[in-house]
Amino acid sequence: MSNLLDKAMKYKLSRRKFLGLGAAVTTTAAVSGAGYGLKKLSSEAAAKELKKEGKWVSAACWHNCGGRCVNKALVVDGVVVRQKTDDTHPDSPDFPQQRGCHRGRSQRHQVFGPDRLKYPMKRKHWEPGGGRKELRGRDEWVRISWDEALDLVAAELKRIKETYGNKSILGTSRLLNYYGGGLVRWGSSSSGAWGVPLETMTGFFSWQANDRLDWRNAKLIVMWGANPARSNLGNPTYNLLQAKKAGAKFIFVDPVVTPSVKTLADQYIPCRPGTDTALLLGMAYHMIVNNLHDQEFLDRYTVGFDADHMPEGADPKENFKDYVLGTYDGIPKTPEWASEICGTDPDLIRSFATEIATTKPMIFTSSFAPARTYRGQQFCQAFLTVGWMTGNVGKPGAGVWVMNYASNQSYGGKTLVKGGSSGLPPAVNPLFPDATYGPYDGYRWANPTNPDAHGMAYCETYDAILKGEYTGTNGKGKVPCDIRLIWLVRDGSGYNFLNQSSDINKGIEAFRKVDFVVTNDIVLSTISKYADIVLPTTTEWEKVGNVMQGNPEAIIVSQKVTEPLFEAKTEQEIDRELAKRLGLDPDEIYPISEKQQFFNKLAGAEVITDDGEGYEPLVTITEKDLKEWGVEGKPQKGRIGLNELIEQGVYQVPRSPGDNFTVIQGEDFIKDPEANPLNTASGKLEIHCQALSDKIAAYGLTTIPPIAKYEPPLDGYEDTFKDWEKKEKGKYPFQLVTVHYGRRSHSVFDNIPQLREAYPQEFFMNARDGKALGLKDGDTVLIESEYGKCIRPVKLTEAVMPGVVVLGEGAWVEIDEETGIDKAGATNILCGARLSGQGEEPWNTTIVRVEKYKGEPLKPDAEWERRIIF
Amino acid sequence: MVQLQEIDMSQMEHLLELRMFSYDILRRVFLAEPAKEFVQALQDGLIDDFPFREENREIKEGIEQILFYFKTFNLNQDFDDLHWDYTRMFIGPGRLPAPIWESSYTNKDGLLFQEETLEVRRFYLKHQLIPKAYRHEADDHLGLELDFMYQLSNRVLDSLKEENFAEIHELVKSQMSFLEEHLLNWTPMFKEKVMKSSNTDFYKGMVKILTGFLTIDKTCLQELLDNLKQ
Repeated sequence: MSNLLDKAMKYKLSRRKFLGLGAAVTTTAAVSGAGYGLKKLSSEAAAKELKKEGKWVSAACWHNCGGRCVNKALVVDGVVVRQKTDDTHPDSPDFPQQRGCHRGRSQRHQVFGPDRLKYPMKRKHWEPGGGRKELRGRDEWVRISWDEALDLVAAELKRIKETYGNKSILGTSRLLNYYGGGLVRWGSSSSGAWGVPLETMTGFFSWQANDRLDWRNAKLIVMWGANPARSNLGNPTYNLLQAKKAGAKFIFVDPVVTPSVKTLADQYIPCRPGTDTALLLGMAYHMIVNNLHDQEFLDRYTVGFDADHMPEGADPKENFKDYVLGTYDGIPKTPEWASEICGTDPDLIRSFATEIATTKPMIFTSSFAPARTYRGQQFCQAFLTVGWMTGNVGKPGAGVWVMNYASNQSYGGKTLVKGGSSGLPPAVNPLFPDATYGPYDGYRWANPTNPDAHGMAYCETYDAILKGEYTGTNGKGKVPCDIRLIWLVRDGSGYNFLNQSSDINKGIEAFRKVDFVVTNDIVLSTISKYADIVLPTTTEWEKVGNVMQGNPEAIIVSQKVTEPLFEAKTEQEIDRELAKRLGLDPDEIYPISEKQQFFNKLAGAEVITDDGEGYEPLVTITEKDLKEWGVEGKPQKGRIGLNELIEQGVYQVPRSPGDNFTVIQGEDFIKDPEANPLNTASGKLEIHCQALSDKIAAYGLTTIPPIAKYEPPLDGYEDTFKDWEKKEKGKYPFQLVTVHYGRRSHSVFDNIPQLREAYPQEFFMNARDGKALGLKDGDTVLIESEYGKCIRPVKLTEAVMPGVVVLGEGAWVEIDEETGIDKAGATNILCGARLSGQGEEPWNTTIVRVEKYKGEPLKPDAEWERRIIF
Repeated sequence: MVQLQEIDMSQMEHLLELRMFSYDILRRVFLAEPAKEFVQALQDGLIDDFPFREENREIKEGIEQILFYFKTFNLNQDFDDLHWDYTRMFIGPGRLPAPIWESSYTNKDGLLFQEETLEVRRFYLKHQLIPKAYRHEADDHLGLELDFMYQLSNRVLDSLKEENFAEIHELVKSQMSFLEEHLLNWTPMFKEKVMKSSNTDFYKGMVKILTGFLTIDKTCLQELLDNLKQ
């Protein structure tokens, strides 16, 4: 026996010191409002706590994938012990469950990860005015109290507004809009160049599609640049599989043999990035010279195809047909001409063109990806034009459209059920009145002629900060600016633009120039890493609840899962506290509580009537419900009780083929175009579209002709050559495609260990190209563009076209301060900030070179030491 | 009836005070960022009072490492570095090199607020204790687990003064279970991470003292149990 009782006697204890400890620790504990340590509880209260049992609740799946699925959590006293997905009804192709993906099922890793942002943090060497600005991204941090954080943030905002004016603030939020607003970054990220062409050429007609059940009537479905099996999780691939089972042939056009190609395709057509327009023109040529196009359709429903059907005021020579034939420019756009550019075999171009022209009904659908290119509108023009040449519009099993966002892909038609409004009044940014507070994708901001709109294209943000001027729209020329504050205290997930917008290196330089960067966040994302003060925010699981729209057939109702973790607050709580300090009235900005907002969304929810013609209230609400909730409202009769809906977590409208909800997009227009004109200048589909040309010119960035033409893009295939004629490759011989990657939804989830393990962020390259460079599978390679460098493990594969390389977008940049090399493989290190069209980010026209990395090889991401900030 | 065998009360009281003292030091070290006054007190000799250096090599090494650190430590110049060492390892805002919660080690996904956290919470509740920031701070933070041991040690001392040996027996048994099922379950892994990622000899020394003391406290508790015969 060790006999410690005896041995203990030799350790004398200084009782004075022992008792003196009390005060010493209090100093630190003062940071926390609630205090540290354990407190005593009565035995009754403790017994009650011990008896708490588990309960399944509907947990939000809120990340920015664009879809929504059912996510449920078994919660015991705030602790999630299990997760599951939709089991509210049996699964069937007509009435599918809204099942979550691997990312949704990783939500608890995001909410409860040890790297959650827990307390307000301040960069050590920041002080009002900026302090040591160059240390952003590499400084130490200090935990501060909420009071100190809010005081500092409000004071700096006030100082900057009062000294330099609201135009020195970059950002927007509900609070900021009440405080005079700020400059807005506008443009188009997700949908690329699609917005304005869809608006002007089709009156947004081709933004919509036939109802999903009708896709089963198609004989042929062409998927252009689309990869729903990776980019659109949820039900899209499953729905498309039903069309395949019903007999549709699938053709995919892509530089990569994607998982969707492997799942669905009957045929794969390779096409180099940024050259889709050339391929489409080659197809058009084949159709025209063989008279395969639907002249009757073109004559009746479109303008601009040939000289005889030009819109009013247009030059008859500027028709599409003569451009394709080379009548005036002397260049017939033959399949051979196209093949040299796009890499597709001329015979394949011909057979593909014949097939789409002669198979009816056909669905001709594109994703956004080919339009995320320099001057991407030209692809949109060509795609719509060639689609229309086949006449597949407004009929069952037929259509020409761009696939909708995320899980809406394959869902056309009517919204069958929808949530109500929160009841918060709109908060207009006085400096950008076109768009109220919300996402600013280009197609939503479609008014470059508004003189009261102040802000710059996404890709010009950093130059605006660094050089003090940006391009004003509508001929305003360069507009001077003096940006002092980057404001990112706002709701929404994943607005991590320093990581997600082109040219991170320039972005970091710009961030290190301003006086103040403030963010709210749930973890230290890239944009927060380079901030001065970071405020911890609740995830959706810590909020009162929400009604979320997924595809048009279902709404998802989420509940609070757990209390705000650590010291996280909701954005509304933060805004209210800041408002007080700014001399604003919090009750004016948020006149109703978050609970009332949640209730309003439920009470205002509507479901389509059985005849498919109107809407009626979804939720039954009783006096008892109102009392229990403690909210304002009126009793109402609906289809489902309030508590029942919340318990179920989802309301989905059952479907069956031939039901009253089936929609054939454009049916009325096709039946009688005179009586049902489109919302375009001519009332028809516009192959020649002056409005498009004019509107793009008004943005002041690049210009395009009114018809689809192929003009080599900046950083496209042609630019990989030093000598095009001799086909001699240049400094950057490879074309990079940046794809949605399984690990993440954009930049969200990049920190989740199990997803890092499943998806290693490998750099894909054609096996023959790799061999020529002396590379072996798994080698660490250095990828370099004019804008930056990164390293990644290489994956050699025949699934990628020669000359093409692929990297998933969204990895959190991890710059080695010594070498300047990014180790994470953040694509925006490689993609330059180039100005194009309506401010679309031209990611898929990027050229790089690749070599074996001479430094220390990378360890797999899953084995990385966790991010440490020095 | 539980009785005390063979030893005198003052010997037992002394051992219990040493345990309280040790847990008090440790909980303060790990519960939050360092406070200047506390670090000053440690530098002024408090760390020298830490018991059992002769019985445990880790404690001895830990104390020596901290004394070495204090040789050149200047509260005005070096405190910020020490403070940052705690913040960086245990608070953030980046990914934490040495998470300070039990479930980060015992949960298969390394997450916080997990089943493992609930088990710790239930342990506290059986003794009518709950974290002050219940449901906001995770219950299995090292500082809270050490505070739990501290508070139970305090109760043992109170019970000794009341000569309530049945209560002492229960409390000692509980502490033994908590040590075995929780603290000893993960602190060796925690120690490795701190040793690898700490920038200061202070925290490197402190994790050595931590694991050393927890090991020796198990022997203490066993000895107490042996002396408390039914």
